Amino acid sequence: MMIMKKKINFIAAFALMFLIACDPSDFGDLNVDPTKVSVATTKSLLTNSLQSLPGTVFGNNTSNFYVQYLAEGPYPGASLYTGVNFDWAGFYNGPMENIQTIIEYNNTDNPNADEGMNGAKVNQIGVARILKAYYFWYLTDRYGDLPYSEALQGSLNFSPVYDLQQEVYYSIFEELTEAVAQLDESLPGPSGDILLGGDVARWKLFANTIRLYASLRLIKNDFAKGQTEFNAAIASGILESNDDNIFYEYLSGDPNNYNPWYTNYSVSNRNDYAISTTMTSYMEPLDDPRLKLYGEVLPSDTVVGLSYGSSAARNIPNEYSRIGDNFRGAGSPAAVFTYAQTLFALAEGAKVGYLPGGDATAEAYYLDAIEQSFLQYDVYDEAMYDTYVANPTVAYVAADGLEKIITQKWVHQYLNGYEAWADWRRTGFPVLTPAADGTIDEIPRRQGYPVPEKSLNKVNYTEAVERLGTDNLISRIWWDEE
Amino acid sequence: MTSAEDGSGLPGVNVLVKGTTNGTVTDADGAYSLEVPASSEFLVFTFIGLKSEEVAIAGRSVIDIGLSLDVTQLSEIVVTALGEKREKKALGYSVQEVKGEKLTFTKSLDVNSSLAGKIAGVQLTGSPSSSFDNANIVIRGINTLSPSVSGATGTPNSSNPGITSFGGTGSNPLYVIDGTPSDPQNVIMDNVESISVLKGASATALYGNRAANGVVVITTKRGTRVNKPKIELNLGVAFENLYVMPEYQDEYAGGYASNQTSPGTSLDAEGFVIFKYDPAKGHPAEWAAFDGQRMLDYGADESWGPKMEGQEYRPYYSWYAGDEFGATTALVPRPDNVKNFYETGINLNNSISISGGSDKTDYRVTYANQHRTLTTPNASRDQNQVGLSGSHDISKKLRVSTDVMFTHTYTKGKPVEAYRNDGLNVAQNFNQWFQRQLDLDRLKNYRTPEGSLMSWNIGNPNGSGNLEAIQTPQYWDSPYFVVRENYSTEDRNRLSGNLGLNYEINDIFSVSGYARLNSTTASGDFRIATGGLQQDDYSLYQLFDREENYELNLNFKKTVGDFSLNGFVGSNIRKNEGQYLYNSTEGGLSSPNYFDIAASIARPATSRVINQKEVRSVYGKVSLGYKGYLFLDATLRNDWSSALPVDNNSYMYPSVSGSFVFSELMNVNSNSVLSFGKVRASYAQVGSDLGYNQVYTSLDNGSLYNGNPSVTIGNQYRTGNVKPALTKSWEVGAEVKLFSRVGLDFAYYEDNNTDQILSLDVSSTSGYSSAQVNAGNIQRKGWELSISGTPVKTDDFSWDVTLNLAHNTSYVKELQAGINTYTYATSGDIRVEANVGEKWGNIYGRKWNRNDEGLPIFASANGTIGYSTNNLIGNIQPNLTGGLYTTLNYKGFDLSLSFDFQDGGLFYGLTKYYGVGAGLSKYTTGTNDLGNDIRDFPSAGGGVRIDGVLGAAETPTTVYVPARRYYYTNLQRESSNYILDASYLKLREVRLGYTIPSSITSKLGLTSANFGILINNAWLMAAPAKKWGIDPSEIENYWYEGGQLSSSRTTGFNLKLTF
Repeated sequence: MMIMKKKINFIAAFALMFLIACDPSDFGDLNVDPTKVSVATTKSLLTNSLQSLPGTVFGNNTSNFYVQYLAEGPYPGASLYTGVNFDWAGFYNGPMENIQTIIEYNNTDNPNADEGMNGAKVNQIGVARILKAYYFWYLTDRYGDLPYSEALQGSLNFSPVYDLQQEVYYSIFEELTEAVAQLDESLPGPSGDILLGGDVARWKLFANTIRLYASLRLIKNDFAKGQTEFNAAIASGILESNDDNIFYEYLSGDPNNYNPWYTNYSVSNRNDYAISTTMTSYMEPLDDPRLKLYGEVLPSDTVVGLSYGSSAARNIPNEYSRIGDNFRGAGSPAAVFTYAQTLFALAEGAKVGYLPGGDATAEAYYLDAIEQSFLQYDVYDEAMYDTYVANPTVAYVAADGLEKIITQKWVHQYLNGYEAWADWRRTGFPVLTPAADGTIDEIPRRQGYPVPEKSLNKVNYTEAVERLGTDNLISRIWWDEE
Repeated sequence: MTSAEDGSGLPGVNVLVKGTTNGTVTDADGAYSLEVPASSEFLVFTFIGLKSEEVAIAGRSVIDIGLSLDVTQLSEIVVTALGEKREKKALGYSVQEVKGEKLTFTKSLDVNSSLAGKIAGVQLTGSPSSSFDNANIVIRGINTLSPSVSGATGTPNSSNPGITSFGGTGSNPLYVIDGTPSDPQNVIMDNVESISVLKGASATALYGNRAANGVVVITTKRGTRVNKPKIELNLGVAFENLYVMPEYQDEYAGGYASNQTSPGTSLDAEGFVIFKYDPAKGHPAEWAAFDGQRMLDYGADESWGPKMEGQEYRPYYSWYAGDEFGATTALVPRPDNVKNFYETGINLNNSISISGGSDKTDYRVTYANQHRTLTTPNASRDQNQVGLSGSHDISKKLRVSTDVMFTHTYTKGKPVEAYRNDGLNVAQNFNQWFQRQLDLDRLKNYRTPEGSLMSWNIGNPNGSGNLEAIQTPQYWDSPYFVVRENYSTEDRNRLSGNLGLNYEINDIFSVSGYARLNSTTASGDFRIATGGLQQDDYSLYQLFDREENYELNLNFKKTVGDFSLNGFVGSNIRKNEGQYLYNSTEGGLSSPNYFDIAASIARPATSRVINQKEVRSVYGKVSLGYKGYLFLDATLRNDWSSALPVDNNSYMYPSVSGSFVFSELMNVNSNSVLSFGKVRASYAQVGSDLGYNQVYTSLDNGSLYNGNPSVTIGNQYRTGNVKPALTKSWEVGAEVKLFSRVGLDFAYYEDNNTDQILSLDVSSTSGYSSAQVNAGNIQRKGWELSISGTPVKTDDFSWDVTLNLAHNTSYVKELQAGINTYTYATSGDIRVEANVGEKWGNIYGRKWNRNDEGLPIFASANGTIGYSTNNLIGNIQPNLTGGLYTTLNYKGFDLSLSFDFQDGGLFYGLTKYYGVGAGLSKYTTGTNDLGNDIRDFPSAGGGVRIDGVLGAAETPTTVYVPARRYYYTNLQRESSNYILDASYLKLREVRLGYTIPSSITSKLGLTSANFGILINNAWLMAAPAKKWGIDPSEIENYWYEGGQLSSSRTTGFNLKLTF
């Protein structure tokens, strides 16, 4: 006992010595990392959020395989629909979380949202809401129902419920309407806006364009709502010329901001993708002047497509045309929204009855869309254009109006696979043959939820899948009615 | 006072003047001093487990003696936590020790691989024998949700292959060299006296959480306090050769022919590509003569081409200007093409040490030198090490001691490993993407006379007449260009050491204080030369990493009647500081092969990583013994960590253990069956903290855009008030010796890693991908058995053998409410998960769609098969690991062998995945049931027969699919083809030595001389993965092999001379 007591005394003595020397729990700034940025200003969050935006309309191969813009050379895989589940973490964790933070910082008067440095609050919030709507719109079109109303709440909710796609759509329309109303052109626009330079008026166009395009998804199953939103978007202001086109500029002098196709072909020296014969066999007989921009011109002075959907390996260089130079320069821009796309949307609106005027109006918009596309790509020549639109393949016929519109739209929005894929799903155009060696014998109609959702958000995931049927590539989402 | 067995100092020996109570106890190094009355005649030395000795004083002032083992006692001294030497029998937990000569009998170059198979429960992972990377070890399996395997001082940077990134000790054990936490690379192998492995929490409670993965305690040799200096010379030379390689096929050349069902428009019936002269494609008029010539599909990096039967064809080099332009040659197999690329590595490994002392001093100085070249060309490493240890008695009560080690390493051309898309891993080229007919010798001169690079992987001349366009490689440069011109260098200095003072206050108390330092500085670079496939590039890094420990202990020991009591109370301050600075060019180099950051065309990339931590601790230990057979140990430790939230940064944890030597109560003598018996039990908790700067949700830099800052919110949600956590573990064991010959040591343990600070996956829709929480329970359960014995021992012949076996299973008992899965790793559709209620490490993958009869369901009539994902394939944890080592001595000869093995466990093997997919493997050839080559076009009777069903009606259908479609497309859709059994049995080390008789050595002025022939990594005796070219004992991490270097075998000679 004596000894035990002694021991305890010694421990106490030592501990005391130690404690006298310093307060053992005080380490000062030792755990603060000077290499890390200490604050996130809303402008830096906005810049980061916009850097993910071009990936939705450009540079993605999977969707470009679905609509057969591209084919795979030596290592066929994704073009055979081998990918089933696709992760969305890169969006929810990245731009969307950042946008949510911008809104929260503004709503809580966080100094990181300071107006002097970051732009007027209403405009910061308005732009953030538009971008948030944009990303949710993009994601719901890929997956269908998804976490929306309870999403992006951090620890408050680690298992958000999956909202019905219809509700997501309705909410997006509402958000866009409110955001446009909120934006104030008389006040400073948001800083860090690398897409539209803080031009609030341009953000209104951006928001209305989302509304316009999104409303066309509703033709089959919610016509009235679609028609209302379509016309409201036009009334609020949409792209009116090629000068209004929205491009995301890649930076040719900055490897971290290179065009992704440039990085793939020219930095990494991959030669995995070529323009597909589905494209070339449509465009070549028409002498489509855009073809030599879309595909690499080979020594034979031709653009040679690679047949889509085979598991057979083929080498591309010199034999098949890679993506054309003006899509894969280090600084070649990504088209986000273009005037010609809008005209095709209007043509479709007229054709399906969102707009009055029927086929005559549809045809007028259609012809204008093709012309504006030629102009956009800088290949317009009046005689050539006249010949082109007179070709029976192109010429508008009321009976095949929708097919003509959407097929030409498909040609126009080359490499914007997701938008073209949405068009294909809702109209069936262009007419495409599924990959011959595909893992399934039809073209995907949606993408599978991220694998982790099945376990990390089990209850809500299961509920969503019960509504869907099966979590695979071919179940139909809400707006994709048969 | 030394052990007669190995000359090591013996602590705790009772020294008594015969017939009196006047006595003392030897200190940690075996030294003692005693005032002896002039009348005394004898000293009596006693120590449990050793034979007592009575020595006549005979007027001497220095009496050095050696005690030898008493076979009726057979106790061992082992080194335990904080360097304390303990009687093994007094320990209530498992410690296993290996003596130096057992570790290094084939002159292993690193500590970890020398431990393979020699310690129960130690599993070797990572890094092939043919690389410079040291292997890693895992002790008692997985004990965390997300273990990582990485080098102790950094992991390879994924984007820059030659660059080491910073920090991260992964799931490595803590290495302690002579009491100083250090790196295993600091060890001078010839200097290792012994290695103790402390496995469980009880053994490691005194090191805190950093020892959660076990502790490897390395004790180096010291001088003895005798006047005669001892000089040891240890000379080695060895040769390293390629060993395990995939079994290649040597029948078919490069190309894609057998993904066709029939000859195509440009393929002839044998699968050759035919040159078609076409001026419209820019072919010069003189190429008209080439029309109809046979070519290969040069751009294909696969070997599905025509059969090699001596046919005349245009090799790739006939498309380069020169004498051979336009010429054809015979298509013949080159079975040794890859083998010939690799070289014989040379390994020179020499050391000299001088040790000695006087009655107050001992010293040992060592210099060691290693020069090593690998089988991969242009890879070399030079290492110089200096070691110094010594102690001096300043006074009778005050002793100063030190150990210092300095290591300088210069490495050049460290091979690039793992699966990558940049063509820098040549092993991946040969084993996954290659043309089998290639004569690599031709690519040794990879520059054309004009200076541009030559590659075998050129474009198709049918597409263009522009030679430059044709010669542009598709995916691969010449492998000689890769290894000679794209390489890394690294210069690394490591300094590790301590200074200690020990003061004896009185018979009971002593105070010891140590300052300890472990420091690394390094600078290195990596270059990619101009003109190859990859954009030219230069990157460099500099780092320093330093740990300081200051410890002060008050030690006490006292014997009262039948009770002995000893222990200490102490405090420690640990400071870690490190910085890593990295720069690389962006956008290429401004002038060809201008390797400097100043050459960067765009704004160079730069990053700095800082790591700093301080942990303050007080701790104590008390050991109580009763009559030499009952022992109880208790420890208590409190830590304050700078890495934890300030309000929660203090945490305390205890351990208790006991042992009972029941044989002491029996009448044990040298004839007893049972010569020693002990049972033991322990319980411990270990507290844990965080890494640096992980308290609050991070803000991460994005890529600056045109001067606009880009910032993103970190993906791990952190509350800012995470708490320290406790691991609880218990262990029971028994040690038994039979017939004084055979020893058994058995341990059973269970750890519950509860409430740990985990990064749990959360639904990314919350805005975060993970959350930092205190949660979970990762449970480890297992047993270890070690049997060692001397079956035969005569004057001329002895045979020693030790067998180690261990089984560990790690379970995921609990994560957090509502969360049942943690994804540990993914690669495409292959995923490794931790699932609640199951064994950690379930591996999931693709399975073919099959009908009820098990027949594959075709996705289309052409024979491709549909599949589903997320199917459980198995688990990656092994069932059983272990090893055996044995030594036979006959007269002057000694033969030593060591084996190690693993049974069970799965891993994903990419070398097979692509080696088969690309048609390189021998197992992609053969004939079908029609008697035709499976690689022939199905239209000609070839193809691989698949019986399956088609369509919703499940119509039975037989399809002959082209070989590539089967081996690439179809097989890749069933993951079990590539998730391989990691079992293996390996004869790792062989040594045959001869000790020159002392009658001869003494004439030469030598104390001893031994000559040995050694083989390291001798024979992978059995392994299911071997035929695919994979040595499962060398895969890069727990579950994945991404294109590893072919392993190598080292054969050499060793001469040990002692003067």
